[in-house]
Amino acid sequence: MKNRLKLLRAERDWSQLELGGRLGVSRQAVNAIETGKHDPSLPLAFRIARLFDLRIEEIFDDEPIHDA
Amino acid sequence: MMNLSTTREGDGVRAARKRMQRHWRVTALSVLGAVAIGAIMLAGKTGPGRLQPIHAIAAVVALTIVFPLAIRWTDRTKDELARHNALRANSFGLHASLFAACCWMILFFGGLAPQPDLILLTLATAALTLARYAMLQRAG
Repeated sequence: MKNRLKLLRAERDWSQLELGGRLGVSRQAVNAIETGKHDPSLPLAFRIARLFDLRIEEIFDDEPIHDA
Repeated sequence: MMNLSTTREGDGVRAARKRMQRHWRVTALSVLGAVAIGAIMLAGKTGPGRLQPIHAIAAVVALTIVFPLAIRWTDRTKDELARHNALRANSFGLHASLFAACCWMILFFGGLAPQPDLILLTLATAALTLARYAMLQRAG
């Protein structure tokens, strides 16, 4: 699933570890979501949306990521 | 300039470090417990009569209480990716175990292998599952 998480994190100058700590997940989980390897659960998607003060659909796009 | 580093210190970093420390403490304790149980299962003489019946019943009751508690305890320190990876690793371990047991039985029926060893199969399944979990976590 495509998402803007990496961009939003970078705008706030946060590392993956910092974002993971704020969301209550590991750095690996943040990385897996950013790279589209893992789709977050609905509760985690809501936590992400609240943290960035955005709606879920403004962060996540249900179009799959295609490897080149 | 975007900062995509993974080491910047903040409230989130401190919370993440605390979470990781708790996770690794619990994981280390669980692995130690599993190794101790494995060593006890393999040490000394094997077969019936190794334990007094009352001791065997007490051990099974203790394991029935401790095992689910340990699973629940370690699960609580995992995030959703780790839980997802644990499910995938468990599924892989189950399939590997079924495959190995079937092959061993067929070879045994053909007179090409000794009788399947339940303890060896159980420990090999646990080791494979752990290795698969570690691989999935590293890939994350």
